Amino acid sequence: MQLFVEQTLNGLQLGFTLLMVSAGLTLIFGIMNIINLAHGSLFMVGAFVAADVGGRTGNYAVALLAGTAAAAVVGMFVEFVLIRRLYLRDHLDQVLATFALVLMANEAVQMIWGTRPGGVSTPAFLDRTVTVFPGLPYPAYRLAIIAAGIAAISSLYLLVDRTRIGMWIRAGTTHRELLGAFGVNVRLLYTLVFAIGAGLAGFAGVVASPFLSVESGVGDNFLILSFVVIVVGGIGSLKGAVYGSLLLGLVDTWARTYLPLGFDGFLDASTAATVGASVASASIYVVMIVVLVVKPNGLFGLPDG
Amino acid sequence: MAEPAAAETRSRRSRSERDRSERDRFEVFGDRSASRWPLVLTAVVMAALAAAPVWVEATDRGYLVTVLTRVVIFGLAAMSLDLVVGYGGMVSLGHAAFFGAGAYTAGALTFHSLDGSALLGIPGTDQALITWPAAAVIGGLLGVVIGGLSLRTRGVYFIMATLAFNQMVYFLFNALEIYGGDDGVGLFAAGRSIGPFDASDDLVFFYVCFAVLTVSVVLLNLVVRSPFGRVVRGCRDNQARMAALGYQTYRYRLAAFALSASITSLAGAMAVTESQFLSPTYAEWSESGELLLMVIIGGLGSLIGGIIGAAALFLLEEFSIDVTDNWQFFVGLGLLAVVLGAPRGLTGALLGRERRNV
Amino acid sequence: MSELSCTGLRKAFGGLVVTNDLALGVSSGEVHALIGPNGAGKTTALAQLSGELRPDGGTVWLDGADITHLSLPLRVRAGVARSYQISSIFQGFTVAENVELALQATDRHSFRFFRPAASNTARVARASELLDRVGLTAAAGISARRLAHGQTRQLEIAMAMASRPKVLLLDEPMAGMAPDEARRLADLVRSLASDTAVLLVEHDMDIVFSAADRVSVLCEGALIASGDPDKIRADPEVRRLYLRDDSEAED
Repeated sequence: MQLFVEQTLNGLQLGFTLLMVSAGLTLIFGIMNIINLAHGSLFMVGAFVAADVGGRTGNYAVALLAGTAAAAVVGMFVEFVLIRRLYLRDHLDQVLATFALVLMANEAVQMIWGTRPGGVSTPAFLDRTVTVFPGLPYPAYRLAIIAAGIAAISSLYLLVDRTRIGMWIRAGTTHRELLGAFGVNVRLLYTLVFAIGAGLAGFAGVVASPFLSVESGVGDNFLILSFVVIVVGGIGSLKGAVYGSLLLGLVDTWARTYLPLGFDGFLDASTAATVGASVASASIYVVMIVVLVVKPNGLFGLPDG
Repeated sequence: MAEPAAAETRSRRSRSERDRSERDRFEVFGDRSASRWPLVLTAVVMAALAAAPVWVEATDRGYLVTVLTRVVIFGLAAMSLDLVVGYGGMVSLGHAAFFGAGAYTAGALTFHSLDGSALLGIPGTDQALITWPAAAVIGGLLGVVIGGLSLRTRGVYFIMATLAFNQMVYFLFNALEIYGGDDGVGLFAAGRSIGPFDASDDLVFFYVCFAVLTVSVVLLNLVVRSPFGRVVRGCRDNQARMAALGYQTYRYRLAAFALSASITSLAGAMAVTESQFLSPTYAEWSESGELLLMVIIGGLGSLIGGIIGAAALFLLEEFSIDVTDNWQFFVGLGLLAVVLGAPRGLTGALLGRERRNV
Repeated sequence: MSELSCTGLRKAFGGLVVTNDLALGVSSGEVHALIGPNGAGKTTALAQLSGELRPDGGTVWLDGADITHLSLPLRVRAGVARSYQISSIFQGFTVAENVELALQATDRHSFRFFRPAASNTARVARASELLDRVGLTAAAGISARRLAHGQTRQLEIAMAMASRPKVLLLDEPMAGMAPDEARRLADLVRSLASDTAVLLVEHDMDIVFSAADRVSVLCEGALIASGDPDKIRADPEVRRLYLRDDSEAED
């Protein structure tokens, strides 16, 4: 039972990290209809800048702020210089141009920070454990990530649901052509949405980096996991991103914990660990396959048309 | 509120406008009535490639032969990806999965022949006449599975799904501790047996690969001009209309996808025989992006463009790596320039087609 | 003898009922016109007959067999073909290739991988026969992209006829045509009725009343009148409907 609670919390922590990446991706796709492979690079920018600033100042809060801001600014710049030229292009052009960005970003961070992996350490005041369940001390930092994820997604929800900008975003998702008619500065709105998505990805990159080695390409796996989230949850659906992220975070964590234990029953220990680990690494893709078979448009996607 | 019929018409019209812009980009060579120039260009490129090793040997740069062999191998994979992307309109960002599957099929068979152990009850072998066809079969089957699932979706979804499957396959290879996990495993003790010949000599091996490429170029050019190829092109241009003509479009698209996966997998097997090193890097997602990059730099919907793109990329790498470690930064810059400035790639530029209207 | 028919057909998008308990039939040898104001649900009804859209309820019959659950391509094979309101021919192909592609859909040669498509002489011959019939022989070799608007409509019909359909569903084939062009196409549609049943969705009343054997009127998804052209012309409800439509248009 303690193991279950612990792994469920780990799963939620992974899920909320994933959500911060996939929510931005979903928002950007929903309103601007663009597939952005460089979203993982914004995650990377956040992590690298935070590692740099954290190393200089030793202050986690400053590093977090710097990483998030850097990702948002880089995102804004990239939208301004490149992405806005791609809105009317087909998806192949978008894939190729943003893949080019990935190549450039992966090299750029090496040119700036070298090839040696850096890292962000857990802030001192969270570097302890909290007893969340009788007999289960749990790292406070992981709980803080869950809390930060909830806070970030709630504010995103409030922004989209309760503000004027959010009204435009919602209008833009369903009736893109109407925005101009409302007198909305569409270009500015797009830049803003892109910056919000980029900032979220950068934020995720900073908070996740104590668990990662911050190196070139560190965000790519999160990018692809976000795609799995979107395929599972449904394109352009924030609700789908929420459920998809949490579902995949939990499935992945549970599978990694329990599958090796399960195989233990009928295989010797080391084989069980190997087989279990490889099956577990495929678990989220199994979820995706099931969704593709049962609901090809995703759990919360719209039907064809 | 808009009346439904009017709304329907409007949405169909905007869709057809988008279709048109996509269609135009894919038509590097236009229709059948178009000129013989594509085939002439194909012949010229193949002749140049055949002569290239002789020339580099004659000019004392024999070390470039292995680079040329990689051009042939990756060109083969890029060309088969063009069948899916250029002719089929299916943007696959997961072809490295098939390249890797071919590499692991051939690599595993070779590994077990060195090891003397059996693979699922089958004895290993380093005979390319067995490992290469085996890779093509396994790749084709994997193509049926991944394509069969991914083709249930459309557009951006399809791109994401293929990329996700790519990553799944990549992690699977990473977990294969027996072949060195994420470090991979060297197979240097194995020869390059091809039938009764030993192709350990790089020049001989180049011409073996070149022969495979030549056969594939001929076959794929026949395929795109066949009734089947026409249907695949038709599905790219307007899938709904194809269904209204009586085509069960899913089957044709899946067949094209599986054929492409099979050839890409064959190329992966050739790559392992060439490098004599097996590792998950063959299946990395960035490899999928690079194959797509070769197709687009060379020219979409031309087949030969994949080979031109592979040559451009490898030669750029070869000559810029001395100048900077971060040569990929400039590859990215070049790709951006091609996407924004010359969407028809080098082939389009060579054949003087007008730019696409965007 | 009725070839294609539907009974009790229903379809709603959200709360909006677009097909309301529709019963309709079209028989071999006749041109049956379906008219109605914008948004009456004509195109939606056609889409359900052709198999693009699943109805929420009701049955579609072909020669007495229930084909409600057959997909679009399978219905084409069973004998129901259609053309589109917006021309959707294959721009990258020549005119003849467009027809050949349509022919190939039902001649089961589409999984031939290596023989050049252009080498099938029987198919090429039948394609030119169809082009002759719609009056496009002269344009056979040119790229479909270069066709004039009216010619694309003719090509659409040649492609729809390629599967030798029992029933042909035409969605506003004359839309956007000059009057004399439209008249010629109407004659062509008339002549097709010797081989196939034709269900024609059309706006132009002159064409409808001259070309159709039978006219059905849709309003808000429901059938309000059906009969020969003279009867429909005299129907008070139809007159009222079209008058109302006119007065709205003036607002």
